[in-house]
Amino acid sequence: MTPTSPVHAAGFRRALVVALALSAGVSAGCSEGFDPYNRLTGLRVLAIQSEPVAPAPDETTTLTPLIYLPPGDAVASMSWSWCPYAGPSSQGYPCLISEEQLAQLAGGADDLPPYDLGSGETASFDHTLDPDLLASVCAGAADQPELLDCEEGFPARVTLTVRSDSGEEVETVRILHLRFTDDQEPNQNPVVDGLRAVVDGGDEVIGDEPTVTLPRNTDTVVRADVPDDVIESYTGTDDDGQPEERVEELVLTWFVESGDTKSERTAFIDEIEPLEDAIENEWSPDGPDDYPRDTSQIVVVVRDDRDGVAWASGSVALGDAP
Amino acid sequence: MSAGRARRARSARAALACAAGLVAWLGAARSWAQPPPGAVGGGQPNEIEAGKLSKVPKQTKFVEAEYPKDAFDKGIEADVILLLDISAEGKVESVGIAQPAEPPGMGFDEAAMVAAQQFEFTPAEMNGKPIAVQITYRYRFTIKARTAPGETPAAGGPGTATRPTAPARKPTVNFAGDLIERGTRQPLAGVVVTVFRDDGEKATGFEAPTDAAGHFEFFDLAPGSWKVLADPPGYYPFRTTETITAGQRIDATYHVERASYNPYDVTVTAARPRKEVSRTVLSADEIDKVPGGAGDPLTVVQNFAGVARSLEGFLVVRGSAPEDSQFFLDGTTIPFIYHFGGLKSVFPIGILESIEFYPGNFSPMYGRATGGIVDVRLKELKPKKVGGYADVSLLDTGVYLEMPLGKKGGLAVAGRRSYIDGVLNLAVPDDAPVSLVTAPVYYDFHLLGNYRPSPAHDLRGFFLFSDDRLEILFDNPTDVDPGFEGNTFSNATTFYRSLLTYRYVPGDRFENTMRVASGRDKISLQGGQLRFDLDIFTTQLRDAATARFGKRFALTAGADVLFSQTDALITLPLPPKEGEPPTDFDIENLVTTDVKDQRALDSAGFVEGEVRVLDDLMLLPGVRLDHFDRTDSYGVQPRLTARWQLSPTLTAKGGVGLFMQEPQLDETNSDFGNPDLEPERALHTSAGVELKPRPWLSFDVTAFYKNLWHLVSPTDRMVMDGGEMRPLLYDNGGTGDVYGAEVVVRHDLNANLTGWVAYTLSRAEREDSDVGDKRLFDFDQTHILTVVASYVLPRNWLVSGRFRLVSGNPNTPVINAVYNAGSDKYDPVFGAVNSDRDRPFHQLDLRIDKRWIYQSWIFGAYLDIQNVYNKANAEGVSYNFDYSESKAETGLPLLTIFGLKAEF
Repeated sequence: MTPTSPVHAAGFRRALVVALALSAGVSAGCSEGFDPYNRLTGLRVLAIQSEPVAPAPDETTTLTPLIYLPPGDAVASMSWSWCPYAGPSSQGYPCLISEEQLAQLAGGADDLPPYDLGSGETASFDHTLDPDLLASVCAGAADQPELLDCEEGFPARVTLTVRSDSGEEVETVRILHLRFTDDQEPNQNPVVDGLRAVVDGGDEVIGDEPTVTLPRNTDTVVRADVPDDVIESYTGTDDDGQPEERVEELVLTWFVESGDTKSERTAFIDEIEPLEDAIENEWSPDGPDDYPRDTSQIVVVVRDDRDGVAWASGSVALGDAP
Repeated sequence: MSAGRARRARSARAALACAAGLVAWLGAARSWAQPPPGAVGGGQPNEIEAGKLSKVPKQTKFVEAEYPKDAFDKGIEADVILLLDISAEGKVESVGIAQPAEPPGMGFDEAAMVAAQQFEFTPAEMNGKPIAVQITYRYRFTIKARTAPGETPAAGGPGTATRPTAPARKPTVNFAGDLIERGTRQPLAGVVVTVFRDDGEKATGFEAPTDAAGHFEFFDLAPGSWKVLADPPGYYPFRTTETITAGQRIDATYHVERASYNPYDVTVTAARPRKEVSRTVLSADEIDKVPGGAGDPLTVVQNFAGVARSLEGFLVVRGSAPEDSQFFLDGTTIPFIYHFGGLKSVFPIGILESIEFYPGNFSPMYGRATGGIVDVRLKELKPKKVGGYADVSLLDTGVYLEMPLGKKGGLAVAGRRSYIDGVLNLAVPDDAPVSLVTAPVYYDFHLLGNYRPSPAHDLRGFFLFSDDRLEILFDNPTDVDPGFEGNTFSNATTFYRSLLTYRYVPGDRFENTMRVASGRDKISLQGGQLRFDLDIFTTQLRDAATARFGKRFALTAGADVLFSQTDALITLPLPPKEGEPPTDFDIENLVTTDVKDQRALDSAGFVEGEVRVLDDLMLLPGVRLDHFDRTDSYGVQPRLTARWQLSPTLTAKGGVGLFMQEPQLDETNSDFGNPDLEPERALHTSAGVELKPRPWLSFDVTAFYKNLWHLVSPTDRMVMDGGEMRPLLYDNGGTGDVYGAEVVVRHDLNANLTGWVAYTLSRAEREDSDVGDKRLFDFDQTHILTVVASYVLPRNWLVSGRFRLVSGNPNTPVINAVYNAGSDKYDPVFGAVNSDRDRPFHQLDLRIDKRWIYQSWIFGAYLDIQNVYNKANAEGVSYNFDYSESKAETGLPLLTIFGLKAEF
């Protein structure tokens, strides 16, 4: 870094201001007067799972979306695609390399996966890209992780566009890391076995059918069944690029159709936030004036910090407040 | 002297302007005392404009004052500005001191007063009738013919009052006293104290002026009852009776109440000659009472023409980005001026003399900025006694204490602590998702001293320490951002500065000012994976020497050297730049930089001439040469300002000049930016006229055009670097144009009203690299109207108001959003940069001040009401989680701040 001057740190200070604003919860989505992020009212794509999480060369991964639709609505169409190098989010992730350009880069290979991955409920992606080519591109960007972070594989971008019968449309993107070396450890999707609610002092399993009744306008403890033995350890890199043993972090996002949860998200961070706190939340469904239906769905999506994702959902009946 | 003689005719008091330096007009800027019911004099004070007099007084008799011996021996010269009450007969009825001599305590004031009592004038006339007037009179003590002091001053003319002559043998003081101002305990210097009585058929009276300490003495007064009168201008007359007993001495202390304790009465306007195209100066007393700032001295800058409205305490001048303008402290750079990014400035009002603001075309003395300049001037301490204040408001408590250092200096200390932490801790409920481990708290401490061992040498020292702290504990850090790793967020900003100033003024032909500032800035932010540790040690040396060559030419030359040594460890996303919305803050993509012991030496030299081509035409050609160490580049910046006084009330002005500044620290950082960037450049051009049709009324119209190039601009281009491709991130391909006009109508105190109207019309456009279209700057505000007014009410009430009507800020609309299933949040897709605009802003602020005057102290209270009619002004746009809904983010609602202030 070149020498500095004390009067010209404004750019960093601007970043500081933004960081402070972020901490104060004034960034987009945190404002009063809007529905909270985790209340399900219309078409939403809540997650896309890839299995395996990061395909190795010549491996095929299956992409499965978690879609929410309100009662009475249905998916009208789905469209899958992928892109090896997309533009910035502020421009909607435009694909910056055409299929012809990719073919040229790949030396005229004819077994490259087409950008169009179909319109099925799930999509398959065949990792047929040359590992040497990916390694070469990643090596050129080794000092620019913000541009191309290849630690877990080459970051291709998958896009899913969902339209509903009611006319809503949601475009969703996610990174699909394409491994190109054996040094890149495979990751497993996390596991969540189900949901429970603490009713009258006992755990009740929340299933697909609304067999459990929760009181409206009352905080009820809900738990996600996340086994602690499936949390993985892996070798990452520290700020200096040196190998570092790490424990996966888990972020649980709690979605409900009615009311609010105490936290929209909970997290397991090794030695900071314990798992028993992360898997527990409180849910207060709305009263009948705000939510006339007598059942409500609850969904929990669990993400690790290496693209792994899993989910569980269920339905509860809503009863009068005690 | 008779009692009637002591009663000054005040029924028709005028203030007038006289030519040739004989009599300087001052009066219209003052608010005269209104005698209480039953007071002597009987008539109401009248203010009369000089222009309405049919005849001004002319001096017919001059008496030379006795030159103080000690001053003569030391070769000291001085000016005393006197206040003379001239009767309708042209006699000097009373003499007061408007501005005492420098240095004090040499006897200049007393000598001038004794002489002035013997002056005579032709009477002033209004509509052909003689009237009593009050004028100011500059008495200049100059050593020319080396007349030996001690000569008897010229005898007083008929009817003039003379100091009672001390008996030739062993005079005895049998009546002495001190005259001090009620409330402030300031000694009243140069006030004539009169003792008188009817002594049979003939009235007998004597007068004695008070010295610099407010002390007066009478010799050998005959035993008996004497009436005592002190009636200084601007004060209620003080009358009492003392009984002299043979062989005994009376020592008295008299507290004289000022007619009004409103701040504008006591403002001493140091009318430094104007040399700039646009400069706004506000004294500390004026600043303190401007509504909307809750007594904060620097928020007032936002009320000046050319300054855009900003919530965060940013200084946005003529459309430039905040980082393009600079704050200075007595000419030296300072890193921060606000606690917590705009909550309150780090300077208490007590240590300030004034704030000077230059929206453009500033002197070559200032540099490293392409926008505007604010120079915070520290007070020159001249305390005559120990005094100070304690200021308590809902935000913080501050104390200020000043004391004399002998007769040649002063010392002041000030400190402040906020208690927002206490209030917030009470306000945050126990079940809130956050806990304030360290709630927002700020401190500052100041030590200021000056010492002038002789008139030629002036030493000043200042030390400032400021500290802000905040630490938040989150129950669920993922509520902040799904990618946030950690459960605490802490921020600490600490800096200190020491500033030493040595001013050498051997005569009126040469002056040199040297300043050395040194300090350290430490900023620390920790929050999950975000980290910002910056530690900068800095030293700045400034020296400026001015030499005068006759009446038509002066030359100022100087050097400005800034050294810095930096350590930094930073892990943050790329900071959003001009035109990039802050919502595009990606916590997933962090950049780390580690800086150790990096040093920079920015040096500059400047020269500025002051050429009086004609008596009324002044040209100020100058040039500044900068070496920017970080970018290893040089910049020659020629500048020219001209002022032409077309008539006594009309002045034309204009300026053109080149200005340069380095890119921001992150922009040239090899990890965050592009080390190959060059300084940004701006050409300032402005022209206008100033009209002062009345002494208390002025109009200022200035048109400006600012051409910007070499602007740092974000770019998506990639470059080959060491055989590898890397993103360029920034280049110098940005250009910009800012143009507009500023109109200021300023009404100095007259008829109890003071204030100004400032209107700015401007357009600020820029063109970024790789983008063909021009767009608005982030801080473009087309119309900025600010009206500030204060009205002085009786009984020390003061009512002030501020109204602002401003165009809304540009914003970049979100036109779509994409759900990012990896980060579990929606990414906004933006439309054209700054293609939308917030609703216009308008707001009224009011402030009420009241002061209660006690014998030895003053108690004040103020109520600062911001946004009186609770306007929900738009301060941006907020969106729901998927950006499908939006609403205007509103600013502060009706906010009332109550404060108390005790001065002693």
